[in-house]
Amino acid sequence: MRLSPLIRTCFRSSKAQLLRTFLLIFGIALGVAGVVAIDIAKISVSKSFELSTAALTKRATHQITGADFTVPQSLFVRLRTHLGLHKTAPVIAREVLVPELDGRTLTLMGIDPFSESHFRDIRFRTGTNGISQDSGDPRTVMTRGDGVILSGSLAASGELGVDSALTLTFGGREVTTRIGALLAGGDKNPAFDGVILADIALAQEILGMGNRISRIDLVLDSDAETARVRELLPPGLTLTKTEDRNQTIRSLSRSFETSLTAFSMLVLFMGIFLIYNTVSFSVARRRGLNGTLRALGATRQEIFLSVQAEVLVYALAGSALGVGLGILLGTGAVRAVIATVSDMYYTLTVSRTHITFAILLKGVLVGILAAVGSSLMPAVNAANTRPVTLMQRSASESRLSVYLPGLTTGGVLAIAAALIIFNWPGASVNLVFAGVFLIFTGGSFLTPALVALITRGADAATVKFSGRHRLMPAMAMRNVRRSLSRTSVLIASLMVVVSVYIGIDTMTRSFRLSIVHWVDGHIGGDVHVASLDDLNRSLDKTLLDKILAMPDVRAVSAYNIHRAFSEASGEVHIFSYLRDLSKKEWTWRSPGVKRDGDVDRLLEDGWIIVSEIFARQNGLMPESQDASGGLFVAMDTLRGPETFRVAGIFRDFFMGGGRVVVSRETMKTFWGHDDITAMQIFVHGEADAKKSAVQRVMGKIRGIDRNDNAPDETPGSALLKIRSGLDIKQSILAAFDKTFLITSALQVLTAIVALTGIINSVMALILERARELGILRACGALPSQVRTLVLWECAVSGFLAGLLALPLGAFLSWVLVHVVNFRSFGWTYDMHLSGATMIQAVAFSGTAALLAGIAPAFRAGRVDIVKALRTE
Amino acid sequence: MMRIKTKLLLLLTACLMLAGIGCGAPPATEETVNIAAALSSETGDDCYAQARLPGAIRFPEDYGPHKRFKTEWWYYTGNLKTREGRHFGFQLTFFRQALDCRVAQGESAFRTNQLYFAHFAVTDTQNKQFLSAQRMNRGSLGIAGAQALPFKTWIDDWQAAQVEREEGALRLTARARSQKQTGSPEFSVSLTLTREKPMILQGDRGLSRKGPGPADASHYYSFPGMSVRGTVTVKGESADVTGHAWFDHEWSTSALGADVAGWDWFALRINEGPKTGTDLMVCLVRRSDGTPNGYGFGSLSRLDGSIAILSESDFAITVNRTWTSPDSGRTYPAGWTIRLTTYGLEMKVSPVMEGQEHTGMFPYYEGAIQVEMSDGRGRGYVEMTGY
Repeated sequence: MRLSPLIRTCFRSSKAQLLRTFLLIFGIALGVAGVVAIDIAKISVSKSFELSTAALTKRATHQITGADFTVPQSLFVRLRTHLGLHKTAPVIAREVLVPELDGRTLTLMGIDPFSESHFRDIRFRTGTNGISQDSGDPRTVMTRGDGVILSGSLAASGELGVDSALTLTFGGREVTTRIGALLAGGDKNPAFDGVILADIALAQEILGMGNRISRIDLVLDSDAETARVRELLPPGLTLTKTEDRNQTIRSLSRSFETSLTAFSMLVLFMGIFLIYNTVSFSVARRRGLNGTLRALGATRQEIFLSVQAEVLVYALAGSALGVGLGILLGTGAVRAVIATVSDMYYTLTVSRTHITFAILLKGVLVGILAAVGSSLMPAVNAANTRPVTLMQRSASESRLSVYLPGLTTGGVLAIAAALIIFNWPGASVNLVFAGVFLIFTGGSFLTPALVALITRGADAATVKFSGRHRLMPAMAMRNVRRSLSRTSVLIASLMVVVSVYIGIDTMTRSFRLSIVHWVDGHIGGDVHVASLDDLNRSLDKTLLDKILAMPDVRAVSAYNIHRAFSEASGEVHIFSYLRDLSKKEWTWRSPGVKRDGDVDRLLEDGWIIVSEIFARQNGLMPESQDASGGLFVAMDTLRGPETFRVAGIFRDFFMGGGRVVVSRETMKTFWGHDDITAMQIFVHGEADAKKSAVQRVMGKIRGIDRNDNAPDETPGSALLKIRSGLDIKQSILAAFDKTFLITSALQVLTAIVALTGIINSVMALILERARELGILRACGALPSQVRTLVLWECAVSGFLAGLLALPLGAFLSWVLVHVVNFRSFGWTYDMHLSGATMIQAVAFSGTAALLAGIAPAFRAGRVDIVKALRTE
Repeated sequence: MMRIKTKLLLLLTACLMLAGIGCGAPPATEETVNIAAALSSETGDDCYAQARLPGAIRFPEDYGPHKRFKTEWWYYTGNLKTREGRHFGFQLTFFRQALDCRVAQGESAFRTNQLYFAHFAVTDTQNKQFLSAQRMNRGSLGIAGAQALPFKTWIDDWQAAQVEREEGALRLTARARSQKQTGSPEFSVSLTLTREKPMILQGDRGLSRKGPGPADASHYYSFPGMSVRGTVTVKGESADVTGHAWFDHEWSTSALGADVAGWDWFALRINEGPKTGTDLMVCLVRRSDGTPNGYGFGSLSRLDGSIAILSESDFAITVNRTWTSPDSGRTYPAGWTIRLTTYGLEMKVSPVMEGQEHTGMFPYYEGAIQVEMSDGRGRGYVEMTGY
C-alpha cells in the first residue's frame, strides 16, 4: 500500500509536535464532551421522570383527579359498585421529606393491594426460601396496614431496617411511622427507589386525608366505558388520559431541556471551530512537506487521504476521550439538572444517571464528522495545489483574496437568512438553532473582510503618528492583514467563543435583573406570612386585623392562593386578593383597559388576568383575540369547565403551569374558597429602622401564633410560616443562580476552548514563520524586537476578535433572550447589555491571545538564523 | 369439604394476592406454599373462633358473614336451559377470608381485616365455551362485604342478595367484562333462585366434622334444588333460562392435614325418571397417594323433602375416563360411576363438555356434569382440586 509511508510520515511529524497533537485531540474531545454531557443530563431527566412518575402510572390508561388534588373515596366505590369497573385503583400519593434519609424527598404512596393487579408491578424481595427474615413480610404488612414498605437499598442508605421508626415530614407536619418490610429495589423495582409504599388505609391516616384520596387510576377498554365514567363524575373532578397528563407534567421542564440543547449546540459549534482551526494549521504547517511529497510523485488523492487519515485517527482518539470526559461531566450535570427540575417543575423522587449507547455513539460520530468535515477544506487545499506553489505559503494568501468577495457575500447572505428565521414567528426551536449556526457561520465568513477593513483603517488613521513606538504595532497589524488566511481563522474562532461568552453573560444578567425587578414588584413585602400546613392553608381570619393594628405596619396585601390542575398547563396557582400592592408589567391588556384600576373593576365583573406562562400554555396570544378584543380561556372549576374572559396578560416568573388572578367572588363561586392563605406585610421606616421594625413585626406575629396554638394544640389550626421579604428574595435568587449553574459552567468551558484554540493557532502561526522571522533577525532585528512583534500580533488579533465579538455577542444574546427563551419558556424580559461585560470580553480576548503568544514569542526570539534561511 | 375448601381458599388467596401485589412471575411453588403457610399459620391467629358445637346455627343471623372465623363462602352452582333446550351451567362463589383475627385499628374507612373474592363461570354447552372471571376486594368502603338481614354478599357489582321481603328468594347478578388480552367476551347472569326444599344442616346438625381433632370441623348448611329463573347473556346475546341450583354456606377456622392432596365434590339433581327431584351431594377427600382419607361426606334430599346424611361408607365413586388440560397440563377424571347401594342408586356421570377448568395461578376444575341412570337422567356440578 503506497499510502502507508505517507501516513507514517504525517504521524511522525505529529509525534514531533506532541503538544499540538494533544491540543487537536483535546479540541475534539471538548466538543464531544459537551454534547455527550448535555445529552446524558437530558436523557437522565427523562428517565428519572419515567421512574418517578410514569412508571407508577404506567398501565393506567386514565386517571381521575380533582381540582384540589384530592378525590372523594366514595367515587371509587361508585365506579366499582355502579359501573362494575374493577380495573380501577385508589391511590394516595404525596411527597414527603424523610429526615432519617438525609432529608430526601420521597413519594408516600398508598395503594390498595387488592386493586393493584392491573396497574403496578411491585416485586417483593424474595430470598431463596421465600421471604427472608430481615426484610419482613411485605404482604402481611400490606394486608394489615401496620407499617410502611420501602426499598432495601433505600433503607440501607439510612441504616434503617424492619421495625425502625421513620419520620415523614410534609406541609409543616411530622408523623412517625414504622418500617414494616423491605422491598427489593434497584433493577427489580427501579421506580420504588423513590417511593415509600403503604396500604392505602395507613397512608390516608398518616396524611390526615379524612375520606379523600389523591386520585383513581383506571384501565378503560372502550370509549363507551370512558363515556360512562365521565357521566358519573361530579363537577370539580376530571378524567384524563394518563399519557396526556404525564406529558403535560413532563412538558413543563421540556423548555428547560431545550435551552440545554441550545447550549450543547453552542459547545459543539465551538468544538468544530477549534477542530477546524487546529486541523487547518496542522495542514498549513506541513505545506512544505506535502510539496516535497507531491514533487516526489505522490498524487493529490494520496495527499488528501493522508491528511484525512491522520485527522481521522485523532478524531477517534479525541472522540473517545471526549466521551469519557462527557460521561464524567454529564454525571455531575445530572445532579444539578435534576435538582433544578425538582425545584422548579416537578419533584423527581428517583434520580438516575442514564447513559445509553446511542448517546455515546452520537458523541463519537459528532466528533469524527466535525473533525473530518472541518479538515475537508484544508485537505483539499493541500491536495489541489501544484508542487511548486505548495511550497510557497503566499500561494494560499493569493487564493484567499480571490475567495474574499465570495466569502463576504456568503457571510452577508447567511446573516440575512438568520434574521429572516428569527423574525418568523412560526419558526421551530430547531430552526432557531439553525439560525444561530448561520449567524456564527456568517460572522466567520465576514471576518477576513472586516479584519482587512479595520486594520487598513487603523493603519490609515494612525499613519500620522509615525515614530518608533508605532513601528511594532503597525507592523503587527500589517502582518495580521498579510497572512489573513490563517489569522482570520484564529480571529474568527476567538470571536465566536467570545461572543458566546457575551451572549450567555448578557442573557443570564438580563434574566437575573428582571427577576430582581419582579421580586421587588410582586413579592416586595417586608414580611410574608403563610400557613405551614398545606392541607389546610387557611389562615386565622382575625390575624389580618391583628397585624393591621400593629404600629409598625404600613400596609398588608392579603391573598387567597389555591392550586388547581389544568389539562393544558399542569399545576396552576389561582390567586384572589383582599388587597394587592404588587406592580404588574403587562405584556397584553384588553382594549379599554388603561389603568390598573380598570383591571380591578373587570375582575369584579368576573374577568381574569393570567401570567405569560399560563397564556402560552393555553395558547392565549394577543393574536387570538376576537374582533372586539376578547380573549377567552376555559378552566376546570368545581362547576365543571367554565370559560373566562381575559383582561390582561402580565409578566411573571412563577414556576409551573402559571398563574391566574381572579376576584374574591369568582374564587368563591368557582373554586369554593373564601379565605386568606398568604399575606405580605409592608412596614414603616427605612434601612436599619425598617430592619428592626421587620424583626418586631415577625416577633409579634410569632407571639400571636403561639398564643393561639399553645393551649390545646387543636389539630387543623394553622401554624404559621413567617419569613422576611429579604430572606425570600435571597432564596429566590439562590434558586435562580443554581439553575444557571450550567450556564456558568459553559462560560468556563468557553474560556478553556478559547485558550486552547489560540495557543494552538498562535504556535502554528509562529512556527510557520520561522523563515520570515529568520530574515528579520538576519536584517538586524533583536530577539527582543522579534518577541515584541509576535506579542503585538497576538494582541492585535485578540483585540480584533474581541471587537468583532461585540456585535455578534449582542446579537446572540438578543436571540437567546427574545427567541430561544421566549420560544421555550414563554418568558419575556428586557435585555440589559452591560458595558462591563463588553469591556471584559475585549480585554479577555486580547489578554488570552497575548498570554497564548508568550511561549511562541520566546521561541521566535530564539530562531536559528542560519537554519531558518537555509530553505531559501 | 370444609378442610379441603379451606385449602383451596388459602391457595387462592395466596395466588390472587400474589397476582394482586405482583410478587413477580413465574411464581415459585415454594413461595406460594410459604404464603399459604403464613396465612394459615397458627401464630397470632389464636383469637379466631372455632366450629365446635352441633346445632349452633341460627337464622337469620347465620345467613350473613362470621368474621371471627377465618374462612367462609357462599357457593352457587346450577344447570339451566332455554325454552329451546339449550344448556348453560353457572357457578358464582363469594369467598370471605379474614386476614387477621384482631379487629383492624385506625380511623381510615379503608381499614378492614376482611378480604372478599369471587369466582364466576358460565358453561355454554352448545358453543363448547367455558367462560370464567374473578374479582377480589378488601371488605371495606362498601366495595365488598356480606350481611345477614336482608341477606346480601357482593363484590363490586357482582352480588347475591335476598329479594325484598322474600326470605326464600335470592337474586344473583354478575357481569364479566370482555377482556382484550384473553379475547374473552362479555358474559353475565341475572337469576332469581327460589327455595323449593328444606335446608340441609350438613353433618351433625350443621357441624360438619372433617377430621379427628375436636376443632377439625365447620358450620355447614345447604339449600338443595333451588329453582332458577332468569337470563344468561353471552357476547351480547341474552337467553331466558330456567333450571335448578345447589347452594352451600360454610364457615370455619380449621387447618388442613398435611397428607391431603385434593378432593372430588359432586352435587347433582335427577330430573327425569321415577327419582326426579332427588338432590345428591357426595365428596371424597384424597390423600397424596390418591386414596380416600375416610372423611368423605354427603347428603341426599328427596322430592318430598326428606333428608339423609351420608358418610363415606354410604357411597363409592370409580373413575372411568380422564382428560388432560392443554392449559395446565393436569390430568383430571372425566367420567365416573357413583353408587349408593343402600339407596338403590347407580349413575354414570360425565362433564357436559371438556375444559371447564379455572386456569390461572391455581388451576382447579369446576364444571357442569350430566347424569345417566338406567331409569333416569340428571344434571349437576363437579369440583376437583389437587390434580
